[in-house]
Amino acid sequence: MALSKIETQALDVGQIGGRRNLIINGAQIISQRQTSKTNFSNGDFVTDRWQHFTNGFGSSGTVVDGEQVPDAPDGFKKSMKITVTTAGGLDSADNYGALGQKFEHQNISQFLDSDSVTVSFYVKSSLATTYAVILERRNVNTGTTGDVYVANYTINIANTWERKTITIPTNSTQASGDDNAYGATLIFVQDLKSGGSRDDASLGWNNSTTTIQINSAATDNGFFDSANTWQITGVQLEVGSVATPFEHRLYGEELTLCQRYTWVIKSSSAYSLFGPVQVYDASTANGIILFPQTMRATPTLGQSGNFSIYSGDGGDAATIVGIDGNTQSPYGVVLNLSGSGFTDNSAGFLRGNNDTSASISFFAEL
Amino acid sequence: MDIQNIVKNVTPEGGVTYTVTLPNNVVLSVPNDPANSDYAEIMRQVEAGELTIEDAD
Repeated sequence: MALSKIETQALDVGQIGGRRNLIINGAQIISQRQTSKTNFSNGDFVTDRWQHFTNGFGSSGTVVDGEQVPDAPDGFKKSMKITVTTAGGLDSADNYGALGQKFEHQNISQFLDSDSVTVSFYVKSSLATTYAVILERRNVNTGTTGDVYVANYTINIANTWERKTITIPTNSTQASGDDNAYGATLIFVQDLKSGGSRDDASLGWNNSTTTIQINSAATDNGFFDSANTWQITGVQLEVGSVATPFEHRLYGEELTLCQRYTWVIKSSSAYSLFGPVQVYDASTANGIILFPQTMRATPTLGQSGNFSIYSGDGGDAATIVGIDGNTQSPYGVVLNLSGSGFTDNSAGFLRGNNDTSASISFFAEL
Repeated sequence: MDIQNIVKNVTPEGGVTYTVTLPNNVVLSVPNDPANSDYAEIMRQVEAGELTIEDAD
């Protein structure tokens, strides 16, 4: 047999090569923001890079929680779990609930232009039924959805980890980009209510501007009608038509990849360090933050807790007013700080103010 | 993004940021960067007539 006929997946030698997985945090090990979120709403994150998508459950009263849990198949330690905590079903036609990950054009579009890609994942649900997976591509000129690949998978046995594989053929019809803009999304739909405009997609590629749309066989599966659970881990998206073993990355590598999109600095003690400070006068100062990773875009600043400036003569309570408009960039920002009693023209540092849960966050998600 | 209030801040040198208040008094500082998805959402809401930006005092 010619060597070219040997297929790598038949060798049974475990992971072959590295850097095959286009998914970030596929093993659900990084959760910088939080490890659980009650009333999981549209746009919320628990594990990094994995975002909840829903257009609401309306008057049905349905509530779902998201949680990173230590329940995973062999070879994994964590999974992302969605739990229906208040079961009311889906209210109106086209209502849906889903979990997905967005990609920059420059990280995926070139592959979709020229080759097939294969999605593989471990999934477990209390409801053995048919579910939908979507890969949507964005048109670089319009910034909106251009093509949507629709597939179904079936959970055969309730409450049991199963590995699923879906190969998606090349799609070269889209005007794709090579920049940091929103280029594609991989979406796992828990359920979608039929009777609207999102439930009649064909299996395969659909040319459409509707991001969330699925095949009728995966609609109305009843996931939100009862206290169901759905979990996922080991998600891999790779070039080619073969699902190779999951590419495990070190925690630090995975964290670095996540920090392009979100960086959270958390207190580890009552007076944890956040960064150096240059005091301007008694009431204003500048905090200097250099990001550990070039962020996808200039990030949004979020904050929680109490802060102080230590500048030689002791600590003074400080308020983070916002990011400085003159120096904002994807590489770092200056924080505008205010307070009273600062030492004029001194150097110091920004720290927590007797607060073990203070945090500063930077978001550059798609 | 459920924006309760938004204020535009302009430095003497012309640098622009936005202070955004969300429910539960969550406050974000959003840069003036079209690649930032929060900035893009703010501009979408403004263009749709759903949001009015206040100037800082």
